[in-house]
Amino acid sequence: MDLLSAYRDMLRIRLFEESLLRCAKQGLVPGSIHPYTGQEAVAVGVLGARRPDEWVVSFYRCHGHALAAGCSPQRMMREILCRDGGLCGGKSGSMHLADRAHHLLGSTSIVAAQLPIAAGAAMSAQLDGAGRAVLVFCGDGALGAGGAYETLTIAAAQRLPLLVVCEDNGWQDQTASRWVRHLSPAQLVSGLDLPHVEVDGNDVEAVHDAATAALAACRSGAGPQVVVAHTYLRDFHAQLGDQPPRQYRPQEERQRWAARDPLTVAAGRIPADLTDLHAEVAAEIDELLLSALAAGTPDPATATTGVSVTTDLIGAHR
Amino acid sequence: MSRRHPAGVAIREAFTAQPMLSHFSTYQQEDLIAEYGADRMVRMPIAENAMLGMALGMALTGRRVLFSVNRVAFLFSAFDQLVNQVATWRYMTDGQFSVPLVIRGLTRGGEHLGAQHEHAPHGMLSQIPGLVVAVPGSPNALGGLLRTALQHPDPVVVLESPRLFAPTWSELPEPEPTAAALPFGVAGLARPGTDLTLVAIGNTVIESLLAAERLATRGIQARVVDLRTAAPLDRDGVAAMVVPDRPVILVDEQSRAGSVMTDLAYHLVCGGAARPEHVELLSGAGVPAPVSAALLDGLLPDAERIVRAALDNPAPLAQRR
Repeated sequence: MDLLSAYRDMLRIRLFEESLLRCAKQGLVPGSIHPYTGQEAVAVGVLGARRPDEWVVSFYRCHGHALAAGCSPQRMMREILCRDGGLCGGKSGSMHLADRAHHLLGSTSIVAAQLPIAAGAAMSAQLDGAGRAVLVFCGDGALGAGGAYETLTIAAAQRLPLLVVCEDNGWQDQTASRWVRHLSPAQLVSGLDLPHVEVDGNDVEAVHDAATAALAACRSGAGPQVVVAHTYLRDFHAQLGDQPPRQYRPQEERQRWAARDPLTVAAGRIPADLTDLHAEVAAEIDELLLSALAAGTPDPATATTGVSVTTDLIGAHR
Repeated sequence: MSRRHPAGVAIREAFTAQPMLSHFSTYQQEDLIAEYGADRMVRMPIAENAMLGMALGMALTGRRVLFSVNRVAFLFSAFDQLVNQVATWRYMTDGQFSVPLVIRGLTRGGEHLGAQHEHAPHGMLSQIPGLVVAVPGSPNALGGLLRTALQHPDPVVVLESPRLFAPTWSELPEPEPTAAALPFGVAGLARPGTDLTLVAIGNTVIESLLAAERLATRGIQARVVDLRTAAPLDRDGVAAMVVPDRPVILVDEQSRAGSVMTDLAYHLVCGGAARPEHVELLSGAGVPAPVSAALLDGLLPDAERIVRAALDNPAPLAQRR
């Protein structure tokens, strides 16, 4: 992979998210925001290995996946801020981004619900017979949900071309995973006899190599593959409203991971001066943010489009 | 001599016509596997939650799935996928995707399986935006609604009474002349009549038609309206079909809590299609389904209760009453 290009993609995610977090503090983000900061190497490393016609399924922490999948940052920003011209017309907001044009099938805000949906897309891919895989992201908290195991056993029995990327950041919301689960994600999928690999999720090259190999296996008919990427959230799980959550993780743990920030790790291997690149990407994000904030809100008349049962709309009663 | 079941005919027709159609079920018929292939007739483990999520994933990626959940009671194991995923995906993506997915499930009727296997959840499911809820009242209506469901771009739940599959299914009252495709959201005239109106859905269509036969022996001609779908609910169609200035009896096997029939009663009265004193609601009791027939009798509105209600209604039935 082109490390400089990957760095740029990670930086764009970082600055996009930080810009949104500033907006959130000013009360400009409706609902909640689950920042991808700290995990950029996973999205960029994995999606750099996918083919553009392979479906990606995400979850509420979807901004990084969407950007790395090639979605328009302008339309994403507008969607997240609920401005006119958003990717999903103001109906998805931050947690449910979908973009057919870039094969982002969608994102769900229910933990683990994306796994069977991705497996169904993988069954379509298998029937299509064109050697395509489907990629799905989840947090390590998703492996506490029953649907994950239903899905993984069916995917294994049917040898579905499904790549599961588990972003193991050690926490599920404000609860440490080790407090509520007796095995690691890798141990859990080992128990199902699924091919899997553990990788440093803050090393974009390592992630890319692992995803490339796993996707090749999926495409060749070897059945579902799991990549467990060890990583960490630089900021926090989520912010609802204008106040960031109180600090809920040990300082020592945060500092240890901060020293291994994915941008720092990648920059250490790039011999060039990155100052200009930072300024360039920052200017790009500033511009699209200003443009989004200057835009109006979605047309209220579109509130009732895109739904099947239209006879029960407001005003149906006399 | 024997009539082929309209449901089976409609489904074979769809699988022959639509190569992109797959069937998910924990049980697959050998003859269907032989005819359409095991890759389309997918054998699934007992895991409704994942099964429905997978059906959604296939539907989003250019295919259509028929998911036979067996008993609709088992659909409750997949309620997140149904309510939060299947029903919302098209809307949340602002119409970028549609969800051509049909869920079939058995409701209740004559099986005495008890509270965890017998449900008639058409009212509950009709409250989920984004779902079509089809509730056939006869074998032909089942075939007709399945035909439409298997062409529909959005998710449809088809709630099927076990009575439509009992050994004696072909002896049930049959208001639909054929099993041709039936539109969603359009109530049907199941029986003409001029003296009163019975409005029914699913099992109560059968009971209302049986009641109408009995009333006819007394010279009373009951009009029977079959809602066919709980969502969309054909409020205006029903209002246009009720016999003016005559009793309107709304018959439902579910309890009246938040039901399609209380909705209709409101619409008929407020819209001026019926006078409040003419409208009567016969509903099932709000208790889980008991196994014992002795307990069950009296909990559901059957033909006898409908006849009694028709005769007791204060509105003028007919000059001959």
